[in-house]
Amino acid sequence: MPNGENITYWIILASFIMPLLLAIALIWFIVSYQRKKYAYELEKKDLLVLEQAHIIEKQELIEKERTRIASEMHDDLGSGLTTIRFLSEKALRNVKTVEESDQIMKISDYSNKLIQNMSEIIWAMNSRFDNLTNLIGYIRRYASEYLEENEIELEFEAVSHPEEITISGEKRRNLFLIVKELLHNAVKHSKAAKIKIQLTTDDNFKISILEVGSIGFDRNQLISKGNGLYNMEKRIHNINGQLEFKQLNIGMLSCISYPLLSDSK
Amino acid sequence: MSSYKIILLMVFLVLIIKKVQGKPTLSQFLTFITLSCLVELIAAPYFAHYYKNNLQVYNFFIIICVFYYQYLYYLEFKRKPWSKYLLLFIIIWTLFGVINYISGIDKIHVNNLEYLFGLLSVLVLFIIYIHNLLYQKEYASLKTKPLVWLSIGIVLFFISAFPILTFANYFLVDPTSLDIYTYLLKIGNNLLSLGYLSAAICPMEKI
Repeated sequence: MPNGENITYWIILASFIMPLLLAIALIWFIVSYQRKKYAYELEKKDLLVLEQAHIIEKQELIEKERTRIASEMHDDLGSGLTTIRFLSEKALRNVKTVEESDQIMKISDYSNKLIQNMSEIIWAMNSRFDNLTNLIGYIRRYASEYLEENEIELEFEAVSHPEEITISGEKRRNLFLIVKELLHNAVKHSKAAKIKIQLTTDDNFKISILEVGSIGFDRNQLISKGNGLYNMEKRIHNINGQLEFKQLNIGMLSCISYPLLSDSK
Repeated sequence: MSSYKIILLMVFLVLIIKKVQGKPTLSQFLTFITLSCLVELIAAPYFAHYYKNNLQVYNFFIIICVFYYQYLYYLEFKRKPWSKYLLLFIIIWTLFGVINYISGIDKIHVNNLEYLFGLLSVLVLFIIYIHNLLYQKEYASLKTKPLVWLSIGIVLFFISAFPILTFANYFLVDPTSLDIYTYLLKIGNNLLSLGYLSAAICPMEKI
């Protein structure tokens, strides 16, 4: 059995040395673990940057490919269709019977329609036009040409946005086709004398089309008659937007609202 | 009631709540804490009251505690090539502890040798575990590692209770300076219970 003095000596020694060693060990562990945490976070950040760079690279490749397809469509198919239209118009001048004239006229009309549709597809595909300003310009040009052709007065108002807002090709095309369908319906069914188009931008991009003097329509009847309204609702749903119709005293009001937050500013 | 016993009861309640909620915790932790509560709150006071000493209860409980700590580290190192040697060591150590306990059941003494060597083996395993955490495993927040908190509790207990555990049998013969070391043991027990509580609260990730 050890004596009391020895025990006291050992206890005092152990009571000082062991907590000291433990404190040193714990501090070392905490410092080392913090270093490991820092290295881990740095590695995670690097990985994130790498991943983002990869996504950007992929997007750039897709955009490049879209632009390439658009320009090839424009150069090859476009020139071919224009030649068909030109030749059919030339042939029209030399026909002798009404029957032949009708058939060639049909070829010319189809070529025209195809050229117009293809130009819309090319516009939607080309990433150079992925902005709101371009969409507004395109809608304005189409509306003025189409309504002038059908002798309907147009009042166009666009409140420009101070910032350049990016909007993808698919969304541009969907919005444009909805406007196109609404204008087509207005010309075909509404008997409107004048159409007011107003475009505003805040958190949402809003397009209001007022058919002054329009007789309006029955929604259910329109759905049962054709695909127009169904297609518009499908397109607006695809881009997370909203489409509303209101019958006002002065005419029929159609409102399209598209949230801009889903595209980068 | 001593503060470490209250903390032990809190640990038990936390583990029951976690069990009901289906949240994961250390393997067999609830069983171990239930046993600890039974020993600390019922068996030890009962033996102290009726037999005037509860050393044999603690001598047996020592074996269970050290076995449980070693078992936790074994689970941690299960995939290591040397884990079978660790298992063999745990079995041998436990057998030695049980035999030592049975052979000294009629004596009034503390089996401090097996406690000290058992805790030293736990300390070595803890150092290996810390080394693994730092240099081999992928980084993960310590908040999700209950074994770290339990280990810190054990090491703090070992260090603060070291004098009384080493010289326990001397104090049984000459209890003149026992009070101050009993106080140290109480601190050690509090730190150990806090280690259990931290491990119980720890939101362990499901594997």
